[in-house]
Amino acid sequence: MNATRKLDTAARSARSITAPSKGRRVLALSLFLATALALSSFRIVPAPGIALTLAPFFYLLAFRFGGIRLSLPTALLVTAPTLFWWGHPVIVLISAAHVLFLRYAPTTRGLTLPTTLFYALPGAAIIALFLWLQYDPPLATIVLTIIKKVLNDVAAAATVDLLTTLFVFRPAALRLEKRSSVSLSQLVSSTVTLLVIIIVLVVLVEHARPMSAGIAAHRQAIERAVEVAVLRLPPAQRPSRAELRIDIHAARSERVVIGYSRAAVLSPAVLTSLGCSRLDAGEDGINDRTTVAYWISACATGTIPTNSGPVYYAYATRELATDAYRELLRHLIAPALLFLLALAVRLALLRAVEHALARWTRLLQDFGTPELTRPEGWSFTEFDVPVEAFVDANNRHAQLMQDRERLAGAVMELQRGIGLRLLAGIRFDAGTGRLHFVEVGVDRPGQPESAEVHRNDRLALDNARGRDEALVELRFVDAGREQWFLLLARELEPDGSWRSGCLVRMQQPNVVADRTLHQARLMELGGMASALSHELKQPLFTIALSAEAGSLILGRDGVETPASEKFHRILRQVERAREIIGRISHYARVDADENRAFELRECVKGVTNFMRPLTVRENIRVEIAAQDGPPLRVLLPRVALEQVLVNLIQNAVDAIAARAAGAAPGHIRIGIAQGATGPELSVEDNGIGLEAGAPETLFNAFVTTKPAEQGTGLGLYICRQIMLELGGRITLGPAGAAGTGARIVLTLPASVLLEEETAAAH
Amino acid sequence: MAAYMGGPDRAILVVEDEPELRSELVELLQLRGFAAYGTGDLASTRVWLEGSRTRFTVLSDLLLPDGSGSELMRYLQAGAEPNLALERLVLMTGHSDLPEELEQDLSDRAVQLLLKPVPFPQLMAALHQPPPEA
Repeated sequence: MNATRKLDTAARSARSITAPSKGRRVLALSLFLATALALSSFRIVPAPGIALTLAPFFYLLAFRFGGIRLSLPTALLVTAPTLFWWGHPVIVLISAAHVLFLRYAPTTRGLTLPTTLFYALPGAAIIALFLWLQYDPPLATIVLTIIKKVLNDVAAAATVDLLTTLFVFRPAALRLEKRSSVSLSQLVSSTVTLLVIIIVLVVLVEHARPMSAGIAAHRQAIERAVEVAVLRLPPAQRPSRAELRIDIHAARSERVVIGYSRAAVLSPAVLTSLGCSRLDAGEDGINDRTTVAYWISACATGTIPTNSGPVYYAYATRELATDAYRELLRHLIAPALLFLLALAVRLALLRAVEHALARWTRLLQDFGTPELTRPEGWSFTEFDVPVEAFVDANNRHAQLMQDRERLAGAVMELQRGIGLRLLAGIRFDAGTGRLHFVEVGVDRPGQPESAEVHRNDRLALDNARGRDEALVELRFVDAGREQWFLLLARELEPDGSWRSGCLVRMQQPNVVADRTLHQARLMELGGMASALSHELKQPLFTIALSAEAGSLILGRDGVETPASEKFHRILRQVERAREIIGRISHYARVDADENRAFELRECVKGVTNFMRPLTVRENIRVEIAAQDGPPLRVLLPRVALEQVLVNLIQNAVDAIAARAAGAAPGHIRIGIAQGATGPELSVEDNGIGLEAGAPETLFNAFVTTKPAEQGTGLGLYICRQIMLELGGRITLGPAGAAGTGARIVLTLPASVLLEEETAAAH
Repeated sequence: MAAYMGGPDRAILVVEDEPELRSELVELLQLRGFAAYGTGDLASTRVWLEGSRTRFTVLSDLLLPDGSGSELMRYLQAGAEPNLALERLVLMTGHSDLPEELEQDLSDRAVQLLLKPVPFPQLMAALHQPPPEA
């Protein structure tokens, strides 16, 4: 509880820090406005008429911090002193217009450019119009005034831009924070602008400062000239008022009015004739000596004591000031051009950086695209190194991703092909009969899964429980009764599950293979019964015929003798044996399966797979050579044909194994072809081969070339029986010219070929 | 017993590859009054039949070294040799598991098939039957 309360308090205090009270905010705002007003009330006047003020800096800062809602009142407030300085509200109006322009102009980032734009368009027009209407000043004065205003305000804007580039104001916390990420283009452009502005300002100030001294020197020169002129005049000719033209220098002379009475010289008529509306008497107040308006509308006056009393003089300062301003303007032309150039460079630089960044961004967005190239067109050299490094890294990455995808695809295809699933966390729940596992995939995270095991296979899984490595053949309820799987589980965990393993879909499970074996034994048994009965029937028939003939020979005279009685007994016993054989024959059918449609090649493949353990043991290479063309599909009792092939391969293996040691590697070649009368299968080996003349007898029952314990002598007999039953033939011959090896050909009737396949074959 | 006796006019050709069985059959049929002869394979049977003027009843094993009895049957019944000395054909076999197609073929052609060992009265009955109408 205590801890919670403490945390609450901490949170509250944190909130109070981040969200200052209204009072604090009002206080901070008032402080800002007061400071702004106080600092804006001072003017820096390096020369008469050249006054710099901090007012724009404050309202631009306010615009950055609080938008137009703060900026407009600030602008009105901080420009209020100009009313007292100059007696007109033009500066106040221009400032307000400036703020509105910033708000509604299609502005880019930063204040420098829109401020420059503002003075280039409406600001300059307002100032020029106002000055012209009010004072009708010389052009140089108007231009200089505009330049001064532009420099002042743009400098303020550039300073605010630099500040906002480097710092960020948090109004909520009333805090100025240093930015953690600074815009390079803004920093470069506002710094460049500010530096150039400062250079221009320095030039302005440097050239403006001597202006006052120049004016003073000018005045002294005029005074002296007036004095000289007055002293030269004979006293008798001294008029009460006179007008002199005093040459200042070769280009210009000053018009000076002199008189011996103050009233005569300083009368309004004289002042009007000189174009003055005031006297330069050093008074303060509105439009004082620091303003342009003062100097272009004032008359300088003075008194020269002479022997015949003081002489008063007056002249207009307009020409004087205009000269000075023109001179200043001349000095400012180069810096102003520099400023314009700087603005242009700034724009170009900004564009270039943005362009380079845009290309860089596009390139980054293409991350992962294979075979990325360095973008066309120019770029900053500094960017080239990271761009090229990025392109290289990207291409390597893309290549890796492609390899990975290809690999994953190949693995998945392989897994699908062989029906392999990699598993983890394998556990069999005997209660529910479900196998639980997590499939490990290369393309997705493993999900826990479970599958219900076929009821008959649960015992096998149950028996495998607790073994470190389990190998179980099983079926799943969902997968169907015929589909077998081999589960291999390893690394027994303490909780009874196995850590890893796999599940393979089996083409022909061992259980089914056992069934095939069983079937084969049954067939062999049937074959044996069949062979036995057949082979016994022949001798029995002969015995019966002999007995009949014997009986006939003896009984030609119709007399029964003990000998003819023996013949009749033989005949009766033959009859008995015949009945027994008849009963055996009932079991002697080589039971063939029902007809099935299948591909011969598939059948051959299945048999070679089945016989693989045997061929592997004897290190025999088995080859299936199917004729080119469409696969041969037949309709046959598949099991019967398989049985024939199994027997033939068994024979081939035995024939190969019976060779002397050191013979060539064993080889069995099974051919599938379309023969003259129907599909043909051939089984060829490089075994011991056949004895000359043996072939036909080898099909008889109980005839074998194998050792007594190996062969029943029924294999080929059964094969022939089955082939007869299938309506085909079986022939036997040597494989090679040298008489080594054997080649057996099974010829199937053309009628077993499936129609659509034969049609396709043509 | 007299019922089994064949007339001397009845000539019988026994085709059987096992010599002992063949000789026993020929001897017994001769004892029964038939004019009986024996051959061991298909080829010599053809030669025999094509060269003879007497008409024979052929008693043949179903499986012969150089072909089957059914091949013989087709050959005999094809009518390729109009002068063929054939009266009728009776087949014998020791195999009890004959393909259905073959059995069908035999019954279609009205050829009798005897199962070895053939009881003697059954053999006589088969040989004494009158030749088919065709």
